[in-house]
Amino acid sequence: MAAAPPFVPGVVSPVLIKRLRLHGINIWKLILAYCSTNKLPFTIKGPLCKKSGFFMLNETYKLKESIDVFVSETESPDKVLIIFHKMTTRDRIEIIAGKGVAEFLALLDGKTTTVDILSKLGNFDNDSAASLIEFLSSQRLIVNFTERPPENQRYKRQIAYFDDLILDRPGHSTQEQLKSKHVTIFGCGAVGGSIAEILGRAGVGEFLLIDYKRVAEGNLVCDTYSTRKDIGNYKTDVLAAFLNTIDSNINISTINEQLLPHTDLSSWIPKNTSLVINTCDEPYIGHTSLKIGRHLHQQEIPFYVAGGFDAHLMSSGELIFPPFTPCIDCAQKTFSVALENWKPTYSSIEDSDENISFETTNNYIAGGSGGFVALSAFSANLASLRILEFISGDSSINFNTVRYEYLINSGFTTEFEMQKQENCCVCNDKI
Amino acid sequence: MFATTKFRLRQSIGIVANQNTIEFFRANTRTSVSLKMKPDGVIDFLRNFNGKNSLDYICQLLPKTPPDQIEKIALFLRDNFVLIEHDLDYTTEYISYYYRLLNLLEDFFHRTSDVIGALEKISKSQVAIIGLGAVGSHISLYLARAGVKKFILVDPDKVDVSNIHRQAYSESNIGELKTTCLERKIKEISPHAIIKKIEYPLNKDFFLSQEFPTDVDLIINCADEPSVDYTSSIVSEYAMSHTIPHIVGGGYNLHLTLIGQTIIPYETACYKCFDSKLTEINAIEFLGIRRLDRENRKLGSFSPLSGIAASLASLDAIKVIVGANNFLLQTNKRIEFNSKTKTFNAIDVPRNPACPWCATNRHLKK
Ligand SMILES: [Zn+2]
Ligand SMILES: [Zn+2]
Repeated sequence: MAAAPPFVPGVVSPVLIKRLRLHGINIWKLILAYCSTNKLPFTIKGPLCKKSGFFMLNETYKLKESIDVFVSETESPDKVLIIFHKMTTRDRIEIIAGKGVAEFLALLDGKTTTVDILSKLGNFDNDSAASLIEFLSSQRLIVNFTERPPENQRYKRQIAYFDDLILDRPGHSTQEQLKSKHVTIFGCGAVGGSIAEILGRAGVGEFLLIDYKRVAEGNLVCDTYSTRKDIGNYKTDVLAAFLNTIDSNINISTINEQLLPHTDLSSWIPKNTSLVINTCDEPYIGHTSLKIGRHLHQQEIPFYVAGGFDAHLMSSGELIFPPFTPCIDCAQKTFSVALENWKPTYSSIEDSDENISFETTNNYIAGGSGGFVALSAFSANLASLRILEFISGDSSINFNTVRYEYLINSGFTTEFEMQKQENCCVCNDKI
Repeated sequence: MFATTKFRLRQSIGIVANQNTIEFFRANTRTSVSLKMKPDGVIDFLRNFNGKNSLDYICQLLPKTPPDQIEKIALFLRDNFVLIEHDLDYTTEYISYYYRLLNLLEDFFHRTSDVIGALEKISKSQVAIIGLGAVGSHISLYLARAGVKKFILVDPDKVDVSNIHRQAYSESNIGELKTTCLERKIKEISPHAIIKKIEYPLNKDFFLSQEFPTDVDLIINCADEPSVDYTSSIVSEYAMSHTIPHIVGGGYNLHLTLIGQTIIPYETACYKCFDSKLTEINAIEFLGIRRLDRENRKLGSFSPLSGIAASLASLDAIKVIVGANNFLLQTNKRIEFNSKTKTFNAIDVPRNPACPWCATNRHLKK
């Protein structure tokens, strides 16, 4: 950092900028880093980006909502230190600028054009404004609001979130993208139902819901969607009706059949589905996921194995989308290898004379798996965070395949990362 | 210990036989306890604890094992939530509607009578939820599903179309009071629920001007207008003066999800303890700095994040209601969830011995 300055401090030469840019170097980052380490003032001069600058001045920009701006005095009376604090990542960017810059930032409201802001402020030259805008854009501190469609009242808060977080496109385009998604959900129990609710509220346009069971009394304590009047009806139908009360435009189809080893999945899962989510933990989520996951791999359809099942009441589940992630076989193999010498036996207490009462009380197992809606909703929210990150096409997504597990009585989170196995032909073929 | 005592092996316990120890894995809480004993025949031995055989009877079945040893093992396993003392049967209603919750509660108690007591506490408790937005609306329904039947719901607002993407309302609710909508939704789950609705904003004279019941077992503050800090300080001050457990300030704080703090008055760090600790932290971080004011700043929001805050607040709420205070997760801690890294970051906030609110003895305060 203490190397010779790449430019004359205080004045940034346009020639130098051009040269650096040719080498693909982020000049502003470089200059800033230099200035801030050496505590140098920073001003922008010269006919910088004249052409694009003119264009920029007629556009409207908005300072991202998640950026907090702090201002503090400096030794120089006409200069202030401006700190941009990104709430999302806790990153800080600092610049030293004229006092007018702070006022200018406060007026970047997404409604007023840059020219109008400048005329309001007076005494601020166009070139500096253009280069400031360019700097702010390059640092992802502002969003271009020119030619925005009218504000979408229903999703405006979520669009603001996307604007801040997903850098690939404006927030309203991400919102439209969600609308075009088709999601298939195996299992409409507590976790499946809650994921469907979260995705439906977020604006996913189409669902296929699969479950053969009917709502029972004991489901109400774990579900987010079933009510007393629904007891006895198919879970798929109850969930579909619930989703349509949230948004009457959601398209939903249902299958009320049990997933069996010989089920022909190609007749169930439409080829255009964007994502399949498995929450089917009977007889065991590992078995159902293996069958579904292998089929989806053939079809190149992304897969999410949800958490929240027995013994994993507050777990996240994981995205399976080879070759970006381990395949379903490898994901499961990671567990079986890690737990090779750890095989717990769950003893059932034989209770022949009470079989009758067991039937009437559906799934009750004395001292068995616990749960209630807050736990299943926790798993569903953690899963939905990942699912929405994926289907909204956030290119900064990280494909590490980690299962997070929140511990009910300690508040610690454990992380378990799934690995591609050495001899797997699926995982080692395509890369 | 009476010879007639009956124990039941909990079926969520996974048993792993090692060479000289037996590991008991509690699958609900994902914790383990180990016991030094020979693994041979241990499962058959434990199967005798079926909730029907008395300790005496089991001793008769196993004449070769000294009775005091059987009793010692049984007590150790009971104290470690492997066996539960079956001293009272669950009713059919509890089993059919709440069996999942029953099984969860067995991880907090040593006797079935205590589990039943916990369910009764839930159904008799009165919970106030202030602010029925992204966090509060979901908490209300979660608690209703867990069996809470008495609510005080506070919110002056009507449902707006922009609420639906993250709050527990539907399209047909638009324009209706949030309190009325939630009352209806709670009754669809729990027809006999008793709900007091207050459509008044949480401000300085809220507790004076409203007939706010004093027999409240828990207050959860999710109101964030004008700010979470403002509403929480008012709610906390009231709750401290009436020694009411409360959960404050949870929710969506920009992109870092703040998990609400659970406060047991005079036992855990109070709002003021948190406040002074955070002021101290902020003072170092933002020395001599002013925040740039921006008009009409509309922060983004995202339902999985408020959902995580709502679910964790509800879990602590149930623990408070049943008196499982040892297992509370959000006391003496300020916890944030980072959506990018999917991790929780916690700052310890112990009770401040010089706290103006809670340092003095509660009896003196009263
Ligand atoms: Zn593989
Ligand atoms: Zn205090």
